[in-house]
Amino acid sequence: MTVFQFLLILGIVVVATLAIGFLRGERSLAIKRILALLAAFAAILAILFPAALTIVANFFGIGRGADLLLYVSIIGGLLFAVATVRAKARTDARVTQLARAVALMEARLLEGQTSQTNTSDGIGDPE
Amino acid sequence: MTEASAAPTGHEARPVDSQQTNGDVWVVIPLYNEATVIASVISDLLPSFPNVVCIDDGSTDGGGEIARLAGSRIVSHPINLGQGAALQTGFEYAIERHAKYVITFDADGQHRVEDARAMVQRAREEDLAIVFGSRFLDDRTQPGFLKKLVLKTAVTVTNWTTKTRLTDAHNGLRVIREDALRRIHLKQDRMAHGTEIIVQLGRTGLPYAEEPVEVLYTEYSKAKGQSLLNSVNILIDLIIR
Repeated sequence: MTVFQFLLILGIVVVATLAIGFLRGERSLAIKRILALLAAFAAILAILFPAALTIVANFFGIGRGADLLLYVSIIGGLLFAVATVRAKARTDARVTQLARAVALMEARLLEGQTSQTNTSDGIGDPE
Repeated sequence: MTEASAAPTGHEARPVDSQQTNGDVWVVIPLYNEATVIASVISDLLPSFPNVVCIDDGSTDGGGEIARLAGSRIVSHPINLGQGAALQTGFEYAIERHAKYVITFDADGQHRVEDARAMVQRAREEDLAIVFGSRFLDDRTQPGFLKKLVLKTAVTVTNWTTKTRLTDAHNGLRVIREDALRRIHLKQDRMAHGTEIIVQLGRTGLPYAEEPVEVLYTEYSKAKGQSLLNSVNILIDLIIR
């Protein structure tokens, strides 16, 4: 095992540990963890036995294992980007709802105060 | 416009449930950094519409406080969320206060109060759920050639993708009745809400009409208003939905 292989394995272990730690969700969590472990295992195998990767690549009609790795990582990167954008959109929507609720509540409170001092104001009735 | 001297004095009693005084109408103004013009916009509106609410979308120029002093109600977004989100907040505010009609009105003074009055009256008389303002039904409004081209393209695409047939999709002046209001849930925070409103209103199948209005391209709104680049955003937002 070369030094670089060692460093790569170390990186994979760190990433896999972080990913497993950060993945949340109830039903899909176990599946995600298994997939992450399998991916880490496959990565370590590929690092230790680069020739095996080339055999897999040949099976898919690609010349070298390194090329297969490149294609797979491009797909992986794109999937990650899409997932991130979707997650951000969901978060934005939730922030919007939260900020709106805060703003409307503040307005109700402020108008409740003014209508206490001015009972003829019949508009600011909170629900 | 001419009654600007009839300055409002804040939160005293306001007539409710009166068609004569438009007490059942709420004017919703999304407000973002328009401190220099908002006070005159509000004082023009108040003689005709006693209920005005500004949705201060995280202004950093003190515009919210100026609007409050001018006699408007204020709802303050704690952070900037975008104009569509401000409108949705205003709709929910108005529904909470039992509004029968909501007018959406721009903060930069490009709409005319007379037009808004005429639109509410038409909604009442013709039993319409939505009245859209359109600057292209007569030749009072003079947008530049490029602006006109972009706006006409936008409305053509909008008509393709919705069931409505309109002449001006991105006019900030609209009258929306309470039943239509309850079916709007604007999700797009940024500018394409002009389209989103129409898509959602089109789905309701409620009766609508377009009213000719004049858009005042003042020096202020020209300097500040949507650039052509923003129009590109509108077009792209239309395609990618």
